Amino acid sequence: MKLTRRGVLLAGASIWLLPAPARADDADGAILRGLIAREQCADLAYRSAAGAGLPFAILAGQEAEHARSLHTELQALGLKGPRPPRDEGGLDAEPARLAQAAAGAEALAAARALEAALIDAYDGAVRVLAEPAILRTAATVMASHGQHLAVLRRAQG
Amino acid sequence: MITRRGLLAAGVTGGGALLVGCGPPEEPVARPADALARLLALKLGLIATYEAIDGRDARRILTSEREHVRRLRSAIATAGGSRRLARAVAAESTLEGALALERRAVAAWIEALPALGPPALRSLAAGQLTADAQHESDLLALLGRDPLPDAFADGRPV
Repeated sequence: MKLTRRGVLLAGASIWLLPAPARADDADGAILRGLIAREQCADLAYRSAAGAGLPFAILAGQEAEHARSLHTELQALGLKGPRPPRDEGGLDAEPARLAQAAAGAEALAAARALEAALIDAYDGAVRVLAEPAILRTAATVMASHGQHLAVLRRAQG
Repeated sequence: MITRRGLLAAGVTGGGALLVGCGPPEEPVARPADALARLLALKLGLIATYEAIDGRDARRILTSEREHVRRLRSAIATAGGSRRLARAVAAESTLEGALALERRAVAAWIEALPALGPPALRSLAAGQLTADAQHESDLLALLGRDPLPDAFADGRPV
């Protein structure tokens, strides 16, 4: 084969045609795992909280649905999800605060803080998620947390 | 050192990559400015709707939607969109009509998101999507319906 300048340039340029889906899947997978863990913690926190007169059972159920949906997306990438926390000892700051809050205004304030933190987390995720279907799922879940916040705001009066 | 073997390997890799890269066609991607302009038209319709509805909740949501329009216009200009005023979607005059428009906005945001590349633009979209979902919940409550009908706020009536 005769070595030409054109041949060298074309061969070198073709390296940049290597696909990057594997790298994007890893990044999306890591983001999904983080979101699933947050939903699992929120679910447990609502179930543990003193929520008399508040729709905490409904919110817990929806957080669990969020976790399942995101887990389906993660499995489609061939990845495994995190294990749910066994008890309140495995909760992060905001869910722990809700789980330990006294009934009434304290529980309501803790729930609003938890939903606001979840919305922040999803905002960070939608900024960078690569796969369109995962991005859309995350967006619908983020919007759902907005509705949770609206319901809690109305409960506060 | 450039060798014939190295160049052939690079060429084969590149050719192989071309074959691997031939998968299903990608989703058609709208221009960000076009996607935002469609949302702006919906938002202008929402503003006219809430201006026609009495009540404290309508006033509160109207304030929110006006801020959305301000930020959208700025984003459209940054994305190189037309400075021509967007034609508003037809306004409604009832809470039921407002609910339908808010759901259309939620669905439109979700559809538009993948076309919005820059992280800041995605964050703008996600924030307004979340706010519109909240408006949907508020309107459902005002209409005496379940404000949390579904775990996934995608704009579809449940």
